[in-house]
Amino acid sequence: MDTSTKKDTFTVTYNGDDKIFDYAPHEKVRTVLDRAISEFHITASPHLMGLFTEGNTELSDGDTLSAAGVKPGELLILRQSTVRGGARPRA
Amino acid sequence: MALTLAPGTLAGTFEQFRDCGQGRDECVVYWTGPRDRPGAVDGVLVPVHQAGPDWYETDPEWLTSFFLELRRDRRAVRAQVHTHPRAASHSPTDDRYPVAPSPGLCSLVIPRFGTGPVSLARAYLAVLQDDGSWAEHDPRTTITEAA
Repeated sequence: MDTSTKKDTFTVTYNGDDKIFDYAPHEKVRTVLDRAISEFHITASPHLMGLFTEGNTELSDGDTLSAAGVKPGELLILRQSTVRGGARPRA
Repeated sequence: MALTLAPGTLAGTFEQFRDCGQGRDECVVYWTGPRDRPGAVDGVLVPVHQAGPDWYETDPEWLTSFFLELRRDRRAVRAQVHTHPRAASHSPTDDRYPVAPSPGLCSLVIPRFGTGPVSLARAYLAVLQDDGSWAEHDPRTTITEAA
């Protein structure tokens, strides 16, 4: 008898690359965000990264994936919440 | 990572900086290339952005659509390129808020809003390292443009 717990999957895309992640609906967004940051080797400002839906809604770190509305097979975008630059900080 | 630019990439980039920045505001473009050709650059993308004399900020909604476009077209950002008002350097803001913060990303800064000669001679190139730090590289040896 197969007693393993079946997990669903979603896809995260970052800078043109895709990775598929197993997840359980009760997992926190923060947990899978940390996994994605690690898998994509994000080394600078990881705390500024977020997961976004194709409609550009950012998933809240404290939510479960179920509460965030993530469905099996969904595509999420990993990106910086803010991208900026310049000689001085914006006033 | 060494970058090889398609012909006209550098001139097109400077033209964009001059047209958009008008010698008074910063501007930014992203150099992109096919995922299966590491180091190749054959696209110059101008993001939806806001800018002032010493800053720029890319539109967040545009970023999401941009990453979806890269996925669809099997491409990647190889470098972010932007201007500074005076001498080129990599500021703390440049360090902290790059477009794709993983090792190998190049960040090229062009001085004087790109109003000088089309050249990398006075540009500043930083490359993101495995430990999250930025290392200065010589842009004239790291970046070459195909004839």
